[in-house]
Amino acid sequence: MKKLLLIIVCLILNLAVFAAGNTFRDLSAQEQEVFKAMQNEMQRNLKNLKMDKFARPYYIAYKIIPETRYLFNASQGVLMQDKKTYTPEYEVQVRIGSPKEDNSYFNPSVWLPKETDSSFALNYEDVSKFLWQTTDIVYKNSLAELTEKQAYKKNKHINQKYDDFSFYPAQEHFDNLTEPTIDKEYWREVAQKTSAKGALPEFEDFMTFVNINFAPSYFLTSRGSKYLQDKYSIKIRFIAQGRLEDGLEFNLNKTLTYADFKDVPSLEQLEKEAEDFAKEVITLQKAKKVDAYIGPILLEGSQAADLMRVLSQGISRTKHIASNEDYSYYDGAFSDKLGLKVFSAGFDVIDDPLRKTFDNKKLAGYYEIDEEGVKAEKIQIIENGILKDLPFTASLTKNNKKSNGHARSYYGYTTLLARPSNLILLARSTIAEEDFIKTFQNFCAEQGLKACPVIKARDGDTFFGFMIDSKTGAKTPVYGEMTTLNTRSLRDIKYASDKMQVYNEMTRNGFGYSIITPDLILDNGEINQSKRQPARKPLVKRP
Amino acid sequence: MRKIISYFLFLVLSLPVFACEASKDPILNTMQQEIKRSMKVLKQQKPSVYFMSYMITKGKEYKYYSSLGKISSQDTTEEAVLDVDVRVGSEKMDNTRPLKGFSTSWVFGQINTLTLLTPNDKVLKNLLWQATEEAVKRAQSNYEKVKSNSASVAKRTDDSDDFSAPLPKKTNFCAELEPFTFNDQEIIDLINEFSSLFKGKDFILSSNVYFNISDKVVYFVDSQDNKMKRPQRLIRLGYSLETLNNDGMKLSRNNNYDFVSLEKMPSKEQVIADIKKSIEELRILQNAPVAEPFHGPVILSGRAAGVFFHEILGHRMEGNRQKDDEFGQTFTGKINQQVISPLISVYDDPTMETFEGVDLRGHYLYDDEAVPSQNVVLIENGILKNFLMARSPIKNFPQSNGHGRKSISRRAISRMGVTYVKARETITPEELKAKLKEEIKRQNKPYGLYIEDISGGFTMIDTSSPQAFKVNPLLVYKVYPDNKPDEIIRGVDIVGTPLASFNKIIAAGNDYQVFNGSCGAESGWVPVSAIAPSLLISELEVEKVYKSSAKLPVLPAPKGDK
Repeated sequence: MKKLLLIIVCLILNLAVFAAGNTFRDLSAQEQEVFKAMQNEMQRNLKNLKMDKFARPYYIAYKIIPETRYLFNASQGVLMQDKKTYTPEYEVQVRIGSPKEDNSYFNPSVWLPKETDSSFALNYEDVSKFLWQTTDIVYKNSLAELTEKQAYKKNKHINQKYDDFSFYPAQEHFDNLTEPTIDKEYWREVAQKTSAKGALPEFEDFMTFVNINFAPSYFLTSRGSKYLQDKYSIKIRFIAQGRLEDGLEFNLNKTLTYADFKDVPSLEQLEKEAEDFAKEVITLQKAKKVDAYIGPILLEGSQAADLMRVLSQGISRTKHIASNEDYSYYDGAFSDKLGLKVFSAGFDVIDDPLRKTFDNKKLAGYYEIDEEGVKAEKIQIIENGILKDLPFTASLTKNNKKSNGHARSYYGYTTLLARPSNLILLARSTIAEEDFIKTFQNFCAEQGLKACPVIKARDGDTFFGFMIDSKTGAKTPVYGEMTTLNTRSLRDIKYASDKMQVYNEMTRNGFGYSIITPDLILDNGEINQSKRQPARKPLVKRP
Repeated sequence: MRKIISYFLFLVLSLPVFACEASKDPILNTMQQEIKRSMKVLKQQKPSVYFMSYMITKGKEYKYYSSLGKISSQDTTEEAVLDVDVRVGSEKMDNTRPLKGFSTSWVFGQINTLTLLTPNDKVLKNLLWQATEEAVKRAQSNYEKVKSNSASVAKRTDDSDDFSAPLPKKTNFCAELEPFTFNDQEIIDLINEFSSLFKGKDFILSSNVYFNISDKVVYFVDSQDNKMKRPQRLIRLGYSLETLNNDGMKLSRNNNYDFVSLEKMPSKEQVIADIKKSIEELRILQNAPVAEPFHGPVILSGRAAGVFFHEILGHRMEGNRQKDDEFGQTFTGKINQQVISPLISVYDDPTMETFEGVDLRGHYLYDDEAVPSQNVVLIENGILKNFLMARSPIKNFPQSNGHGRKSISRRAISRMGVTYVKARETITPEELKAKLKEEIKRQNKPYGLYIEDISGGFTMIDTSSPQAFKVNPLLVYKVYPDNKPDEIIRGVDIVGTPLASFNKIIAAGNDYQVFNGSCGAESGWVPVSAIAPSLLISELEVEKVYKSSAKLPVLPAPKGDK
C-alpha cells in the first residue's frame, strides 16, 4: 500500500512538473538547436573573445525572441487591416571588467543593443552566426565604454562603493511553448462584429483593434541560468471617435488585454463589452466643460490602474554613475525613499512575479527567472503606506544590496530596469462595490461640496466622467483637465472598493506586467477646466 | 536622392483599356458620389476648395526572407489606404505651393491617409467624409501661409500657376488583372533552398534571399470627373550577401529578378548559378586592392549607365524642379540647346511594358493624377527638348505629360518612369573595350575602369548644395591598355557634375540592359526602370568610398556543425 502511495505521489509530482511550465523537461528538436547554438557561441566567446591588451568578457547573456504578431482592425463593422509579421528579436549583454567594476550602466545602448536591421533564421548555423557577430560588436563597444566610464569616474572623483554585478545560483525553467493556431476568420469576425456595435450616428468612427503577439523567449547566461518562456498576449481595443455637444472632438478607448487565450471572452461577450462601451461613451457625449476643482475624486476602472502606474514608475530604476549627463538613466521617484510614507496608510502593495493568475486569469507579469538569471521573488513594496522594499537587480547600490530577481528588459529602453511585474494593491479595509458610489457621495457631502467628480475615461490630459451631486446623487457628465495624478496622489487614497480588477499590459519582445487594483477614492485631487477648444463643426454634413 | 533596390517589381500586363462603368464598381461609385457631394459645399467656402481627389490603394503584400536554409522573417499584410488631396485657392495660387525660405522637405506633399480594407458603401462614405474634413482644414490653413509667404518674399523666377487647367480629355480608365494565387510553401521551400547555398561560407557575414509580392489596385476619382482603376502587381525574387574587409570596408553583392507572373520566374538552375557566381565575386572583392582616386576613361555597363542617367540627368528633367528656386535648375533655361553628347538621346516612356523580354517596373498607362502616360522625348541627339511634367505647370509647359507620380500619403510631382537612353551609333562590347584601351593610351593613363554593377546613388539638386552627384558601383575592374588581365578593385564611388560628365560620352555599345529599381524623392518611393547601352566616357572621376570603422570579428566564424 505504502509503495503504491509512493508511486502515486511520484506520478502526481511528475505530472505537476510537466504541467504549464517545467524546471526540467525534454526540449524539442528546434529548442535544443537554438539553445545549443546559444550555448556554444557563448562558451566560445567567453573563452576566446579577447583583443590584445584588453580584457575579455566575464559575463554574457543572450536572449532570442522569435516574435509573431497579428493585427486585425475593423471600423464600424468593416474589416480594415489584416497583418501578420514574424521577426526574431534579440538581446545581447556583455560585461567586461569584473563584478566590482564593469562597463554596465554607463551607456546602456552600447552594452545592451536593441536595434537591429538584421533578421536571422531559427536554426543552429544562423543563430550562431548572428550571435557571433553581435557579441563581437557589443564586446568592442563595451571595451570603449569601460574605458570611458573609468575615465569619467576618475575625472569626477567618484569613489564607487557598490559592485556593478553580483552572482546568484543558476536557475532553469522551461515553459511548454504552445504557438497558438490563429483562426484568422474568427478574429476578423471579432474585429468586425464588435466594431459594428459602434456603427451609430453618434460616432464619427468606432474601431476595434485586435493585436495578438506570440513572443516566446530563449534566454541563457554564462552563469548557467536558462529559461524558455511562453509569452503571448491578446489585446482588444475599442476606440470611439466623435464630438461632444459643444463640438469638442474626443477619442476614447477601452482596452482588454489577456495573457492567455482561455481568458478571452466569447465573441458574444466581447460584443457586449463593445456595446456597453459604446453606450457609456454616448452618455459621456453630453459632457459639459467643468470648472476648476479641488477635493475628493473617484478613479474608476482603468483610471485607478493609471494611478498605480505612477507607483510602478516610481519604484522602477537603474543603477547609474551620478551626473553622467550624456546618458539617460531611469530613476523612479521612490528610489531613495525606503522607509518613508509614500502611500496612504491602510494599504499594502506587493509585487509578485511568481503569481501566475489572479481571479483565474493569467497575469502578464508572470515570470520565474529575471533577465540576469536570478530567481524571481515576491516582494512587499508598501506596508501600511510605508515603502518597505523595491525591485532590485544584481547591480548593487546603497539600497540595492542584493537582487530580488526584478531585472527586466523593456522594449524601447536600452537598459535593464528594476521593474515590477504583477503589482497588487491590497486595502486593509474595503467598501462593497455596490456601495462605493454612495460612499463617495457621502464623503463629498462631508467635505461641504456640492458635487464631486468620478473619472471614467481619459483622452490625453482631458478626462471624461460625471459630477455626482452630493445631496441627490444625480450624475452630470463633464469633461476637464487632469494632469495631477502623481506620486503625491498615492498618499491621497482614502477608500478602495472590494472588487479587484486585473489590468494586463504587454509590449513587444514579450515584456509584460499587470496591475491589480480596485476602484479608488482620493480625498484630495485636483482638476482644471479644459483648455482644449472645440474643433470647427464639419463643413459637409456627415453622409 | 538615394535609390535602393526595392522589393517590388512593377507588373505590367497587356491590359485591354476599358472605360469605367462606375455603377459596376461600388468603390469608384461611392468615391465619385462623395466627392461630388463634398465639392458642392466646399467650393462655397472661403477660401474655397477648387479641386479634390481621392485615391485608394488596396491589396495585399507578402514578404518572405530566408537565411541559411530557413525562413528568418515573414510578413503578410492586407489593407487599403486612402489618400485625400485637397486644393484650396485657385489654379493660380493654392495651398500646395512650397513656402519660399523654408527648406523643401519630404513633408510638404503629405496628404491625409486613412487605412481601410474592404469598405462597404456606408463605412467608405464615412471614412471619405472624415478624411475630407481633415484635409480641408489642413489645406485651408496651408493656403493662408502660402498667401502671406508669397506676399512677403521675392517673386519666383517662374511664376507659373500651381495647377494645370482641366485635362483636355477626361480620363475614364478601368482595368482588371486575373486574381493572383500562389502556393506559399513552394515559395518558402524555394528560397530556403537558395539561402542554404550560403551555408558554410564563413567569409560571408550576412546573407538573405527574399521573395516579395505586392498585388494592389489603385482607385482614383477627382472633382474634374477623372476616374481610374489601375492594377499594380509586383513580384521580386532576390538575394544579397555582405562581407567586410579588415579595413572596415563593407562589400556586397546582390541580384534581383523582377517578373509579372510566376511562369516568368527565372529557372532554379539560373538563380543557383547566379548565387554561386556572386559568392565567388564577393570572395574576390573582399580582399581586392582598394581603388585610388582616378580621373580618366571609363566604361559603364548598360545597367550602370542606366542608373547614371537616372540619377544625374533624370532628376534634373523633373518639371517641378524647374519652377522651384530652391533647386539648382541645371537645365531650366536650356531647351533646344546642346546639353549632352550628340551621340545620345533620352526618352522617358512609361508606356513600355517590356524591353527585350524583361519586364519594366516603371511601366504604367495612367499616372497618379489619372493622366495618360506619354513617351516624352527629353533629349534628342544631345539637344534638350522637354521636361517631365505632372499637373503643376512650368514656363512654356502648361500641361502634364503623364509623369505625376507618388507613393501613399504623398502628393504627386513629376517623376521618371522608364528612362531610355539611346545611342545614335553603337558598336559591339568588344569594340567598345578596344576603344577604351585606345583612350587609355591616348590619355597616357596607367589604366581605365569598367564598371559592371552599381547599387544606386544620389544627386544634389538644391541650391544650398553643390550640383554634384555620387553613384555607387558594386563591381569595378581596372582595365589595362596592354594584355594584362582585368583586375577587380573595391571601394569606388563615381562623382562629378552633370554638365561636365555628359559631354564626355564618346561611344556606346549595342548591349542594352535594363535596371529595375525604386526611386525615392519628395513624393515618396516609386518603381522605375532605366534602359541604356554600355557607354564609354572619356573622363569620369572616381573617389574612395566611405569606410566604416568596423573590424572583422575577433573570433573566426563559428563552425556550422553542432
